[in-house]
Amino acid sequence: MAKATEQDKKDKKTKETSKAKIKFGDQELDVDIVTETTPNAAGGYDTVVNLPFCPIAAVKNN
Amino acid sequence: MASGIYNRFKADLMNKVVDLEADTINVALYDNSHAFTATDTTYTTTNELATTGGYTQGGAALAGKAVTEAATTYWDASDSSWTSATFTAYHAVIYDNTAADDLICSIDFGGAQTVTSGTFTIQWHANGIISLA
Repeated sequence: MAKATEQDKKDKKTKETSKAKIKFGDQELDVDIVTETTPNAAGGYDTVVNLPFCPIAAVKNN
Repeated sequence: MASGIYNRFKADLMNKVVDLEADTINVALYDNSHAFTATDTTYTTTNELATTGGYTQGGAALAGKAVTEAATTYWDASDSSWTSATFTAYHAVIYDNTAADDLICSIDFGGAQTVTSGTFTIQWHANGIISLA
């Protein structure tokens, strides 16, 4: 699906998913970030970026 | 690009330097030149969005900070937002303003996130911003 343009976002609601990575110790985990935009009365649009949590390395009992 | 926890924050936890509920914790927005480097230690304006378009350098203070104790303990806060905003951000960096601006974590947005004449909101995950398992 084509990426929403600036004009698309001013005209209608959009929802897009971006791929990102989170470092977890020595590993990198793939995560999805969902962004929703909504046209507003000012002629622009509001944006909500829905984030994954950011894990800290698990505690190890040695 | 990736998100991650800064080494400084792990040390600050063990040294009782940070209080994630009581301290002033800020979230700042960065451009596409920012890269997460675990060994970075303190907040910087390098590659941070400029003070314009509804954004002010230094970022916004997190409200409603709370730690929930459980098998997986997590730290959460109210969603962060900037009003009357027109900018493009690629990353968010959380740092402890009270603890000499020590870095906590960097979050990659997965690309450009734009807002035009509107409100830009970061909706933190239901499982919190950081968890400790």
